[in-house]
Amino acid sequence: MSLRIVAFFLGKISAALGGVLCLPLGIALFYSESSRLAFVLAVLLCLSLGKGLLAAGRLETDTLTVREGIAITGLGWIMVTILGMLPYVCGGYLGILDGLFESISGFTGTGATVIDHLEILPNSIVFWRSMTHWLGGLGIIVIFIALLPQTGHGAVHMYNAEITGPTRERMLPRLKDMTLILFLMYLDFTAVACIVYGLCGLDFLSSLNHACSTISAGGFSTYDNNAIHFDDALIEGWMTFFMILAGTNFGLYYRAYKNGPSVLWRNTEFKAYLGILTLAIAGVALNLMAGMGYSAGQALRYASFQVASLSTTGFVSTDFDVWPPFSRLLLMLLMISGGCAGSAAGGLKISRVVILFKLAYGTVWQLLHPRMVMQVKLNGRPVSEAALRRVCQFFFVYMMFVVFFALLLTAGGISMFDAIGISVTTMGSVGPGFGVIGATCTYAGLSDFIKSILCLSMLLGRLEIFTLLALLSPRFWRYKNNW
Amino acid sequence: MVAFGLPALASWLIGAVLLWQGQGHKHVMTAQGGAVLILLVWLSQSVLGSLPYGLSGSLPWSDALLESIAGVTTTGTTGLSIPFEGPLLLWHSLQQWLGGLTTLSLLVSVVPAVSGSFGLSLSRRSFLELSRSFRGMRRTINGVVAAYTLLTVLASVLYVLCGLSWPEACQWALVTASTGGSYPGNVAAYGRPLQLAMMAVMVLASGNFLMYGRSLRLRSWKTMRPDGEQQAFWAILLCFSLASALYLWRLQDYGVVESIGNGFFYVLSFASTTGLPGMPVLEWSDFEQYLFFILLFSGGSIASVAGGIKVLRFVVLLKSAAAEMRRTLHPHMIVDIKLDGGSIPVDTVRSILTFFFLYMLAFFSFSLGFALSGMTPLVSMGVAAACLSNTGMAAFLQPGTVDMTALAGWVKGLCACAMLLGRMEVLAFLMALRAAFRDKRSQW
Repeated sequence: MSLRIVAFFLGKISAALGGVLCLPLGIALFYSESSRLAFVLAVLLCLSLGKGLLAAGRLETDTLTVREGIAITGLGWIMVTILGMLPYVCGGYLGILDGLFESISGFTGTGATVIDHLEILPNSIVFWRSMTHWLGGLGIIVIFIALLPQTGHGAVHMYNAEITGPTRERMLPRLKDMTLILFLMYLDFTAVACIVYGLCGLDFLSSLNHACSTISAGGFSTYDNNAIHFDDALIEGWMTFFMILAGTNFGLYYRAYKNGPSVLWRNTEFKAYLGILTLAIAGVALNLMAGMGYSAGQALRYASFQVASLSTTGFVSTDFDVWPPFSRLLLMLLMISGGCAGSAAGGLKISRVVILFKLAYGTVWQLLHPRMVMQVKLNGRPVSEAALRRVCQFFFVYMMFVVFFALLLTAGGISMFDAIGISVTTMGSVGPGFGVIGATCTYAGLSDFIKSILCLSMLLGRLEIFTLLALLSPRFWRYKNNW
Repeated sequence: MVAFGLPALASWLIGAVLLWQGQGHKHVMTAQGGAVLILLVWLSQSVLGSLPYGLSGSLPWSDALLESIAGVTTTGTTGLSIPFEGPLLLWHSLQQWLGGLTTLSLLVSVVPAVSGSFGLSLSRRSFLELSRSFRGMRRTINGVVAAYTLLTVLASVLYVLCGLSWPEACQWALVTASTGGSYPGNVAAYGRPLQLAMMAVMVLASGNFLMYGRSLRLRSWKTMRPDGEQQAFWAILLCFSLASALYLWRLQDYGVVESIGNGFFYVLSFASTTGLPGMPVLEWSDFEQYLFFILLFSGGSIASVAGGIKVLRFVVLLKSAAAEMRRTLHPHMIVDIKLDGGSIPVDTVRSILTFFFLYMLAFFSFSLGFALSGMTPLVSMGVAAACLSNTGMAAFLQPGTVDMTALAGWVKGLCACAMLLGRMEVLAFLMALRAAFRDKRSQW
């Protein structure tokens, strides 16, 4: 593995981030906010680091190895989340750990905040929070490949290390074309969401922030009480629509645009996603009507918003912490299942859930008929044995980490169910949980030990575990290793 | 007299009729037939076993059936306290012991044909004991039953030496050797010698009975040396016990020796899925409760009477995860997963992974079902885990708040399903369902 190539790409990412930071700097200058200096400092630090890494690095070859791809993606994410905290820390708004937590929560699309009073923060800082969601939602590597030149043939390893889902399907043969299409669609959806929110009565900055947060399946709001602030069925309805949009495979939209909407109805994962959401909404709504005496309209309104939100984004329109036990447990399971592969959402991903169910059904069949040849299909195409094995392994490792992090949280003094909820919500990049970090609470009151654990949990969940774990393996860094 | 005489007569009559019907059978069983047999064995044992409770009038029939299922699946009891005395209490203890015996018998005879128990044949020494021939099966069952009986007798003697009376010692032996754990008593108040004796029995009950049977048959101690699975079980016990002991020492003001002793005792009670009564659960912190909750899922050896997912499967899952990590860096690499010097077939690894998913799916589904009845999410998960792992009341999170006998009928049914599903290791149940619902005209 050539560290010079890794340094080269990290330098480019750092410099690019410095460029992106100019956007909130522009807002700070426009509004003459106190955060101007913090952003200037952050921009300078990013550009200096970028320059230093570019000087140390060199693009020795166009072709990256798997290890280099993983190193660039993993280290790139760690570097970006550290640099992302600079505006918070340099401006004195948050301490180092809180700043890092907020930055990781932003980039990973979790939306867990340690800020108790958002409304006193400058517009530029609030916008930077939403910007971190937006950059991390599609993926910093995807945006990097789409917009910046000179990524070369090996960019596929970087892309594979970041992209979510069980398979590495491509809608276009050239990676650069594909990532550019994804980026443009992402941008268009954000613009449309911004316009729609504006038409619903939100001011421009609020619309823009919430649009960035929705399409990236993040969950940061500009208000302390999140979407409860609106208390408007129309806004909640549009937010629900865009959250479901963000939870679907963006590549599928392009195929639907090219080949017609029938592509959507032929896609197994999309149908399963809508099916799960429909069943969950029905279940929660009925439970709310029976358990809390809500009217049908009320129950449907809150159920649809929270079900769509807690499987992807993490917005809160009502205090679901007081809901009946069945609804709360169902919401927690939705956090685990997550959204579609290739979307901005986190969790296990619906395609994996579908594959696991089909595999389980096929296994029972095969036990009854040992000579039968079993094949699991997704979207009409057989899933390879290696992909099947990887899906099952991912499920096991995901559950083990959820259990492990929950254990550490109980050791840190969190009650058991809250700990399980926090572990699930951070691994699944959702944000709100139950109890101590319930619907109306923030993560501010948690200890430094717990916040550190959760930083790791959020990163592991976003990068789908194996990429980050590979970096921690000593074998990965052996210089003389010919592999 | 009626409470036991009638069920005995009914069992003999049914047995006689079925034996007569099955005369001249071909000594060949399909996977489908095996799955249906497993389900019917547990159901018939539960129904016939509930007759003494119902006929004596001590429990309503629905509770009698639930209590019988809890006994036979070695889950334990379902009420906040055990409502029996005298002969019924003895029957309650015997049911748990018979449940363990049934588990071991099916494990040797039918389960390998049905599912291979998804890993039973992975332990090389266990594999030598499994045989598809009638004679081989009979030889292995004899060895396993002898080992199980010997363990129970040794346990009785140990408990008598520790100060219990013979009747009490025998019944405690029945419920600890079977990992049922349900008998009136407060184990926390018992002296350390008795607790140590119970720990020894629980460790042995969580071990590999195929190996015990082989040792008895060959009269050799060499086959008893711990294999990979046993080593993993001890590692789990050690880590969890030390973690528990540390917490007890730091937060509960126990001395060092007392903390370690209590830590091992509590951990073993859950790791073996016995679930002994009278543990000071209200003193436990959330960390300790969660630690014991996790242990319910790991369970004992794959050829033991304990419940849970089983240690061997976890060992395979972890080794497979490590292999997958290496494949992240080298996507085309072929990684061979080994256990006790032997390679694990790829199909078996995938089957175990699928089993893990099904087990977790069952856990989530039952948790949702219990939550629908009004139990808090935490208690729902505790009840689901306790029933699936066949550990029983002691494993309920926030115990003392759930009295199964006070639940609605459909919730009791859900508890019963969870216990049976856990004992049948999920797959056999699904296979039996699939076999029951298949189109009779289909050739499949």
